[in-house]
Amino acid sequence: MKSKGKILIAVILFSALFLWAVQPAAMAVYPERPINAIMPYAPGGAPELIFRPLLESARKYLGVPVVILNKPAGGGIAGTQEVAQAKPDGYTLLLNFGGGEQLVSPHLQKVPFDTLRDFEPIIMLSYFPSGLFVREDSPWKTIEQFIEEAKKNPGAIRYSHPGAGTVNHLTALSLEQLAGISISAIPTGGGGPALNMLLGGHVEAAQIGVPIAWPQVLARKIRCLAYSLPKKSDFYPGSPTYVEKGFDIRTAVNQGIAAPKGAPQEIIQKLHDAFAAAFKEKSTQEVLERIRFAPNYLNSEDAAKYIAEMYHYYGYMIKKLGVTLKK
Amino acid sequence: MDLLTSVLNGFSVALEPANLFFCFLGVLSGTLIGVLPGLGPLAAIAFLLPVTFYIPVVPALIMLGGIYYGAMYGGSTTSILVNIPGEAASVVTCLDGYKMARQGRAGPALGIAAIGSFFAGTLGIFILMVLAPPLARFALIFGPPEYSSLLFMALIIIAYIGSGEKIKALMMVALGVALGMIGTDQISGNARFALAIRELQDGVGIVPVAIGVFGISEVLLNVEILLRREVIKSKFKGLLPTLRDYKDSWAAILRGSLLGFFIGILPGGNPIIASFISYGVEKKVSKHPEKFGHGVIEGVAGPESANNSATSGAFVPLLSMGVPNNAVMALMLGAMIIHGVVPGPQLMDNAPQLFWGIITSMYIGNAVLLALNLPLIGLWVQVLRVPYRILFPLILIFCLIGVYAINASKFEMLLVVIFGVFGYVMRKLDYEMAPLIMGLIIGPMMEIAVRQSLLLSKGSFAIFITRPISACFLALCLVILLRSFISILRGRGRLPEAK
Repeated sequence: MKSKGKILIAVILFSALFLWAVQPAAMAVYPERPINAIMPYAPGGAPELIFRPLLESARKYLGVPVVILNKPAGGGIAGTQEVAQAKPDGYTLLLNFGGGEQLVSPHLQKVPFDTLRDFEPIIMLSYFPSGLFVREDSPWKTIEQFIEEAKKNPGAIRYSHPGAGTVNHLTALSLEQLAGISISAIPTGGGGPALNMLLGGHVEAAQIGVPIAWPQVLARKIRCLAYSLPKKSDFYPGSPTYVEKGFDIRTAVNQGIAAPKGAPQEIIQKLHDAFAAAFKEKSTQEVLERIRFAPNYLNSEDAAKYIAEMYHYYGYMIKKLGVTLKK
Repeated sequence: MDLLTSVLNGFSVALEPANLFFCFLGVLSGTLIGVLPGLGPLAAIAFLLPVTFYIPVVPALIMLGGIYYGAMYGGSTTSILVNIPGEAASVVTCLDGYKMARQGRAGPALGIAAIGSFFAGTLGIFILMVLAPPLARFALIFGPPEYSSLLFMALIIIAYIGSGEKIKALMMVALGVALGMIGTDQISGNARFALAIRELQDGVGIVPVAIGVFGISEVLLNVEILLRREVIKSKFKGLLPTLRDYKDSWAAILRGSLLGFFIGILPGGNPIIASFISYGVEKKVSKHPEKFGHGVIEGVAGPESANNSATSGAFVPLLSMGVPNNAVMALMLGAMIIHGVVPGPQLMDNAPQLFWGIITSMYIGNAVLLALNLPLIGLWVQVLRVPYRILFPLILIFCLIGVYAINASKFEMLLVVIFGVFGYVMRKLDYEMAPLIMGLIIGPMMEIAVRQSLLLSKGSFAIFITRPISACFLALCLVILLRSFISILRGRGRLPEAK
């Protein structure tokens, strides 16, 4: 009995030692199990449309599936927080990184994460601007005419937007400030309702995300007076950017992917390469074209710089505009 | 291409064996998910959407349509059998449907729900086909003032829904409205009454509340009876609706279909509201309103038809303009885009094959639903034979799974339990729960609509009267109130009886 006991203990100790020694080797073979990609919204939203084909393609390059998990609570904040607090082992990622809740919300309310410090950006994929739209039968064909009218009748022009504190709302407020005009905001519960208000003739203009409005532009029901990308894009022909017209308004909603801070460099690199390759594939590019999200590929380093720049840009804008949620 | 050719073309697409198969698959899986308490079309589509990625566009969209209808119908099954709404739009079905089941008439209730849904869905699709673009334009005219007045009218109708004391029903409505205030205010972005609990920032969800006050409380009430004495089981009086039932319900089905479709095309148009309003209307026009709430078949036929045609109606803005009306339609929009279709005003012209294929497959989906479910009635009814002491733990588990499946939120689990106990206590005190749900849904919607209206009019209340449609609704409200007032006065002998 005694010798059997000794052998047993020896086996156990040896196995433990062996497993422990093998561990770093196991780590080097990342990824070895499915990766969770957290999408902080309910299923079916527009950004998900790019991520699905992208992550499907990425599977080829990574060798494991990347699973989308929807965590819709709190308007995007809960999902973001979850990734911020997750283990930085490369198995939990944040999708739609660079959206309003990471760039705008922190300046308006207390959020349980720090955009600049809690995340390691992996890649930026695309972005879409906010646009100022009027109906086809509206008398304003350019943004100058719109501004002129607003100056003549302050507060008379009513515009709908998807909600207080959204990127769209901020864009309109910036225009007000920079052009020195006053227009009346009618908040709604999203891009769809805001668009409907414009189409139904209840408001004179709408400030909404360009992709959701574009089918109506193509059908010649509405036109876009300006959109907020830093430079012109072929995706939105026939309309100028705010920047072209002399207004420094560069608000855009970004689609990127990030990992929690502290994730090892090799893992970030591997993920970046896989996603970049998947991004180039036809299936993803086709979707981008269909939903009209302008491509904006940035690698990890550039992505980090871009996010920091946009974060400060929004902070500065919000302070200057004096926007608070306690109005 | 004229209408008939387009439709026939569409049918040739929809009737292809592969498409038929996926339609069937969609309807079946949708129904099964819809039966789970709390899981409705939104959850069903969200779950099954990834499955559709692996099949080509047309069958995928057909399958999604089938899932949608299936889930809507599945929700009414549990409402009738065990008084637990399968999803929010089936809450009203609980009122009379369950009573019918208790009277041994579960079969006819399920049957009329299926038949009414089929008729309503088909009628809705027909109208959609013929009138989609003009309807969509009409729906756009509905702005915040019109909405406010419509919802105000809905609130007034609530007073008629309950079969108990009116004042208690109104108290529950008020409580529902108050609960609806919790959450982030859309207009100012402020969080209200959130008590620093993150989950409350999105407000108190309808599903946890509905499952709690209907589902959990029902189980608690029944278990109490069980402990005291065995539940009396009535004999089954037939599995299908009788001729008498058809006679009683056909008008309700027709009214429900038209009403539901109309409400469905409106932005934010909600099958839930459609079903509530239909119930109220049925009760109002009925020759025996006092019987409502005790197992009247019109109380099932009307609302079930309404919520199905509201479903068809909700497709109108999506298919004719590419603008989704509510969360489910947004999901369908996303699904369409993933599959390479970009719905917009030009969909009908650019991709007629697809457009008509989808529409005709909706017909087929409805027909399949009917064909699938009528034979299943015999099966569903067996559920009632299971001894309650085995059934109720299963019900509890399904309820909790249903709620958790939506948001994976432990907080919502807590809410279900809290509201379950609350519902139990209130029901013992004879307070009805349907008005609570109604208040919870309508309160926030109406608040936003009224505030938007006032923003549009720069503070003037006149906007509600100067806009013709809004004025019509308000006038209708006035008429309803006056009639009630007069009958109250008559009852007290203050006014002479009508000759």
